[in-house]
Formats: sequence, C-alpha cells, structure tokens
Amino acid sequence: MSSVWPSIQDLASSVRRGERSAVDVTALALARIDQHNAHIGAFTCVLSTQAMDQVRKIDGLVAAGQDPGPLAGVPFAVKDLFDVKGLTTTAGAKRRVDAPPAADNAALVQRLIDAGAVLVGKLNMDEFAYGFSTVNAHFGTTRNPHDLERLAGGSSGGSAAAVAAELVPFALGSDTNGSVRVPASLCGVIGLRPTHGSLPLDGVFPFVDELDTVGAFTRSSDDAQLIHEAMAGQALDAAVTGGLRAGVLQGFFCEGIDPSVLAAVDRVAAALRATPVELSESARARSAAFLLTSAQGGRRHLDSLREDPLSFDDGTRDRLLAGALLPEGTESAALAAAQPFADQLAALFETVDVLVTATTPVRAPRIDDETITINGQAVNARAHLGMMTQPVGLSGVPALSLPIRIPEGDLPIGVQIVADRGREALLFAVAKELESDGIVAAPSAAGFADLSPMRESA
Amino acid sequence: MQALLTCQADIIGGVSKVHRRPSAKEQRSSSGMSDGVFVFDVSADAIARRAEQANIAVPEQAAEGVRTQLRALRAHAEAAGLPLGGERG
Repeated sequence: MSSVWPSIQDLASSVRRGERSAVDVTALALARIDQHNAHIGAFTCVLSTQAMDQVRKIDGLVAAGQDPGPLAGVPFAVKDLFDVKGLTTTAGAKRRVDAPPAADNAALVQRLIDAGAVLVGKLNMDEFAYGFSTVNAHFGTTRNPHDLERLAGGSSGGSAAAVAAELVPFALGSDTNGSVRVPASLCGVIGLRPTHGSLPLDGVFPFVDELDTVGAFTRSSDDAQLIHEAMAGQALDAAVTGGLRAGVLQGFFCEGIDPSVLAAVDRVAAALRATPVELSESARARSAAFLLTSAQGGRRHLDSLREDPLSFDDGTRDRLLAGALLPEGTESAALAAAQPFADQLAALFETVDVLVTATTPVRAPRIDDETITINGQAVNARAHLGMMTQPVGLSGVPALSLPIRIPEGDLPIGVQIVADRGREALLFAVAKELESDGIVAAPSAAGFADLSPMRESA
Repeated sequence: MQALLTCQADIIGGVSKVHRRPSAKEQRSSSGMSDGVFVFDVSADAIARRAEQANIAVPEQAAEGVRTQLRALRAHAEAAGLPLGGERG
C-alpha cells in the first residue's frame, strides 16, 4: 500500500471516469520528483513537458467521452536502457551520452503509453546493467529511500528507489541476473522477473541474450499483475492457491544468510505450509551464470573495449575486459554446466507449485561497506547480493520478490517466490494471499511518505 | 606474489609487453577446449596471449582489476564443474 498513491486500478479508473484530472496526477508525480529526487538520485532525466502534453490529451479524451485506456493517467518511469523516442538510451554509460537518440519507443514502453500510462522520466542503473549496486561513476549513486547511507541495489536501482520513495506508482527495470529482484528486495517493493522470452525486448539495450528479461516494480501485487498484463497485452488466467504445494529451498539458499532474512523466509514458508526441498546444483548454476554473463558481456562490448576502455566505469571496465579475455567456448560451457540445475528444477516442479527463498542474503548494505558476511565469511558485497537470484535465471522461470511486513523504521527484507515457466498468475495469487495474511506489505520510507491530496481523496 | 607482479607487467600496455611468442600448441590450448579439458589459464603468459588474440590493450590502471576478475571467474569455472586445465595464476 502506498501512502501517496491509490492503487493503479483506482487511479486509472478515477481518471477514466473524470473524477480526477490526469494533469493533477502527473503534476503530483513531477512535484514529488522535484522534491525528493535529489536525496536518492533515482531519476537521470525528467520528461515534464512531454508528460504534461500527454496528460492534457488524456483529459481531453475523457472530456470528449472517449476512453484513454486501462492505465489512463498513471505516471511511470523506466530504467535508462529502454528506448524512448527522441532520447539517447545511455544504458547508464557515460560513453553513450552522445549516442544518437532512439527512433522509436521500446515495444513495452509503447504498449504502456498506448494503455494511457504517462512516462515521466528515465532512471539510474549500473553501467550497462552490470552490477547489483547502482553506484554509477557518471550518473551518481542511487540511495536507498529507507536509509540514504545504504545501497538501493541494482542494476535497476533507480527504478526500485523511485517506487519505494513513492515518486511514481510503478517503474520498469530489467533482470538479467537479479537486477529487478535484488533492488526490489533492498528497497522494499515488489519486483517481477517474468518468464524468459515472454515479453518483447525490442528497444531494450541488451546484456545477455539467454538471461535478459524486463519487469515492473510496484507496491502491491494487484498493481504488479495489472502492469504485467498491460505489457503482455493480455489478461492472465485466474490462478487459485487452494491445494498449493510449496517448497522452501534449503542448502545453498539458506546457509549462512542473515538470521532476520531467514526468519522472514520461515514466516512465508509457514504461511504456505511449504516443505523443505533442495536443489543441489544451485551453486554450480550460479557460477555458470557468472561465466556466461562475463563472457557475453565482454563479447558484446569488445569493439568499445578495444577502442577506449577508459571510457567505462572502472568496475565495469575490469569485469568486461576479463570477460573479453575468457577462453573461447566459455559461453557454451557455462550453458552446459547450468543444465543439471534446470533439470533438477523441472523435476521439482513436478512435485511443488512454487518455491520460496530469500531474494538477497542480507538487508541493504551500507554504500561504503565493501563486504557482507555469508556463512561466517566476509565476501564482496556487490558480487554476492545476487547469489540467490542468479541460479533461477538460466532456467527461464519467473520469480517474484515480495517485501515482508516489517516494523516501522526497519530495513526491508525480500522473499522470492519462484514458479515454473508461464505461471506468473500463480505467483500473483500467492502474493495476494500473503498480502491478505498481513505477511507481505511494502513499507513506507520515512521522509517520503507524506500524505498527499491524491491519497486523501482516494 | 611473483606471479602477480609478472602478470601485471605483462598485461600493462597490452600486446606490446608480451615477452615471447607462444607456440602454436600454446595458442590453441589458451583459447578454449582442448582434448576434453577446458583450458582456463590465468597465468601471466596466458592472459597476455588472449589479450593479443582479442586485440585488446589492457590499460595499466585496469591490470590489477582484470587479474582479480579472471581469478574469480576461474574459481567460478571450477565451481561450475568445468574440466579445467591451465594455471591458476
């Protein structure tokens, strides 16, 4: 629940009925961005004029008795790897700021605009989506709205922070190794990695073909489903949770992780009556994802690495150079190494409908902390935030990160629900059940959660 | 320590700092699968050879970071169960 915005359904319905003006809704989003963005560094570009032009047309359609669409007047923003017509897609890279502007909107951006949603800006990210931190040397660090000294996560950190701070009702990001789910977990919002290949990636700056997906950040599962359906272009079949068979992942997925995170997983597992299950190939699959990502990233950026390696952020440069220097055959070897995990997962989905695990092993680390503790060992924070999201990716299955209800002022915790390919409807049904049980709720970030006229009149 | 220093010296400045030409067999084995073994050599020579093959000049300020990344990736290759050959570096 947002303290600022009504549900997306209510917001759009009220605009369509003429009870709220689309101009007022977007003016509130722009005012909130203006008021708060400097503190969190989520937006890299605000499209005030373009957005206000669009909402005046929406209000005009309503006045003329026409329907502006199911998302009428709902403000949103996108990670800066989605093409927006007339703007340069930087993919978070300084070296791309002078690249030619996009000729068209990305397919999914266009679908949302066609449904009446209002694009108000573009959002910060790790350079070329290669990271879990959104610490960007050129565009700055996106800060976690729940504690400005902590990471928002990445690589879609700007998108997660913008929704966590309630600057916009929803935002889009991309998830290759966990880049939607990790920042959703650290910022306390919902983030979906959909089934690989289920949504078009036209006009989305690529990273790893076998892993790339795009998904939305929202504050409720109803909103998440509505936006996913708008992007998919069709309503999902109804799913029921009666007789749900849930498993809670053991071993790799819970060894040595933060006790408070483990307690949150246990809480969800108990609510879903989940039985303990194990995927013994998980660590191997995660390593395979690392190798594939590095090798393909290096290959994709090879020309730029040859031409001007110093034009990259230092960390990205080193990772991409290393990837470019991997032996030939690394990508195919990594894909082969991930297959046993995919086979295990497929077999497990014969006996369970959903799997439960933490999204991240810890709550948001401090920005200046280089390490986190896993299994009693200090490990690189930024490399390990995705350790529980990475294995899932190569299997192509959907996963939803859900914020666990926490006491006011606590740092968010995310729990990941995973289902078999194409079963997003089941993920949303489980999320709704957990919300109605009071277990899942997006926490409000102090300092950003002021009551607005929009909410009071909802 | 000696290996690390050697590697840094080798990959700084890229191809111009490669000290010797690898044999044809070495070139083949540094570029991927060989006799069922995935050759992932992070020795100084191997890194320099791959940089030469890829026509990449690793900048001086990136040398340490690249070396660290490659060692981490070799550990991941080991964890992924690839039948590894080559030096750990």
